[in-house]
Amino acid sequence: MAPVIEVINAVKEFNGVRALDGLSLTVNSGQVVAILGPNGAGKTTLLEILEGLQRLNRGEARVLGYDVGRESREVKERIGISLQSTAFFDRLSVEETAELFGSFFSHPQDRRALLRNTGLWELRGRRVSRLSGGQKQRVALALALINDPRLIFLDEPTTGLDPAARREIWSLVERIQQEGRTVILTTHYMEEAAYLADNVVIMDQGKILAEGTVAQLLRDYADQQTVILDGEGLDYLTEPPWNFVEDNGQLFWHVPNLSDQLDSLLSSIRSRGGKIHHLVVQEATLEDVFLRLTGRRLVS
Amino acid sequence: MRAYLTLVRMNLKMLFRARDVLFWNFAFPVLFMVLIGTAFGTTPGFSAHVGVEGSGAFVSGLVQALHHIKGMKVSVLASGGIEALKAGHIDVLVHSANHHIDLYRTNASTSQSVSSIVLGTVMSMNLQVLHQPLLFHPIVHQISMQGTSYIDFLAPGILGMTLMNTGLFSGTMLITHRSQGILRRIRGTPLSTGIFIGARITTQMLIALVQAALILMLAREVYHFTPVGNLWSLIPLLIIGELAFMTIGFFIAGVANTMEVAAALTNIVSLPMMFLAGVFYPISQLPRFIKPLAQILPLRYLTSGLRAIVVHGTSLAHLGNDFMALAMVTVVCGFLAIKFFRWEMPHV
Repeated sequence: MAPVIEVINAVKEFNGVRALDGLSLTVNSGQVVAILGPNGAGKTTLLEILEGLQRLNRGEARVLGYDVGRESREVKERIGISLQSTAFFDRLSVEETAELFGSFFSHPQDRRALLRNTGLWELRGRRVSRLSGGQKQRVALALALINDPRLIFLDEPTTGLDPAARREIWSLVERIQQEGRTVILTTHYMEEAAYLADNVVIMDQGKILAEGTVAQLLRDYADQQTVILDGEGLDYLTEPPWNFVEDNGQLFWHVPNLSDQLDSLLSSIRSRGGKIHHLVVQEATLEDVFLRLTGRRLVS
Repeated sequence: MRAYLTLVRMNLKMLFRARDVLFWNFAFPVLFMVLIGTAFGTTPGFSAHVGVEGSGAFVSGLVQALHHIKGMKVSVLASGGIEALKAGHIDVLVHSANHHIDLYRTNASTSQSVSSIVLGTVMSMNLQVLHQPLLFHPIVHQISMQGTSYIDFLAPGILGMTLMNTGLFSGTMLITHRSQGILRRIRGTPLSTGIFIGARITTQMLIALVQAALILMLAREVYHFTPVGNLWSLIPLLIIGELAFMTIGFFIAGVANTMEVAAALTNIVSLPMMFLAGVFYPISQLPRFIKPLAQILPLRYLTSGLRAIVVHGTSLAHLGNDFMALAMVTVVCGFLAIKFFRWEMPHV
């Protein structure tokens, strides 16, 4: 099966600043792909190129087999999008908004079924202006499905939402995937990427730094655990060969293959007469992957 | 086509749910009309006050006869008639004592005409007493003179002004949709820009028709305005006028980043037109040095066209100039609007 998205050497500049810097990406059908990166990484620009909202300066981008630059209408007819911080007409109800957006497509799906499936049936008569942030985001997601698209772009679907509303959006996204659609979403929440995505693409400064499943990325870029210690007589651990890092009275130790070394750590502490109050072992996260790849934290 | 019709329907729904927009589109022009119409619109009828001193058959006959004249007020005074006349409380004083009748009038023009009326009345009283038949008896006919009352001038003026203001506002509304990101979201669908804008224009045309009906009906029912022309021929003029002002609004929406800037630009465009384009008084009354400026104001062509149809019954075929001027504004501003059109705020 041909890839759903194919980007080759994409370059996009805004006033001399490169938002996309020779980026290439392939996405296969049925996946949920999370594009993870800090603000300004070029995530939104990449999405807008694929949605036909921006044009590339150089390179090639094909969506569902169509060239997005030359055949953007064909692309728009077949994809679903939810933009970052979209507003709709405040004075229309949820159902009227769905009716209006449905009329823009050649083959809209039945809006009543859509509202039921996206949990908006009870809210169908409510004005958009009276919806909460989470409800608005659900409307945005429902509108992304109005043309029954095979491919859906969600730009930061849960930014600014409380945890409960975020969970609701997540279950909706899972459901969308179960219907066999491909979902591309951007986020700067790594737990969102870890929870939803089959594949994670890590972006920074207009480039893709790494991509793969969460397990692959952790194995390749963060094959280590973190030991966090706090106690008495442990200060010697900041020196070689242990090289712990002290932060706020706690000692941090980033270590690959912890299981091989835990024994020797504990016996060392015992022999030195040190006392442990707390010991925590943290698994590596995508945050560590990102830190490793860029030298910076994802969320500052 | 489905998208276009749905857009128009939803635009109308949104309009009727927005109290402020409803106010500016419909209530404001009506209030404006009532305000100016009541202050200046109706020509005052004849009114005069005659004082009569004395008593007897002559006095009661005169009072009765004068009472039948519309607008004439008669008061029987015990004394002090001359003082009342001098003070302007009455226009004419009739003093009757012992078959001696005196009529006092002043040098005011009302007083002069009222005294003729009183003299005429006394004359016919004489003839009645003498039982003389009237040899010459003209029958009076009244004919309304078109275009002489101020309301005839004002009604088409206010209609033109309303079309201008609401057309400009409706065009600049694009800014709100742009800054909220609605335009960007719509751009992500296959909907073409032309249909989106076309639906906006159509909605505003429907509003313009209602505005025209409202203003003309109000003028007719309340201020005795009597349109003489074929009102259906107003429609093409309303359309081209509304188009001209909407394209100016779209152009402003393209240039301005915020609604505040757009409001300022809109005022720069609309205020001179309100006062110089023949809304409240004819351009011919403007100072000579301003007249050339008035000639380039688009509203001037709309008001003169509307006035020609409504007041003078001019047929559309003779309004080529007005149509051409408004069409030129539409083409030029339409071109600029397309050139400056932006889907979203520039990237910062």
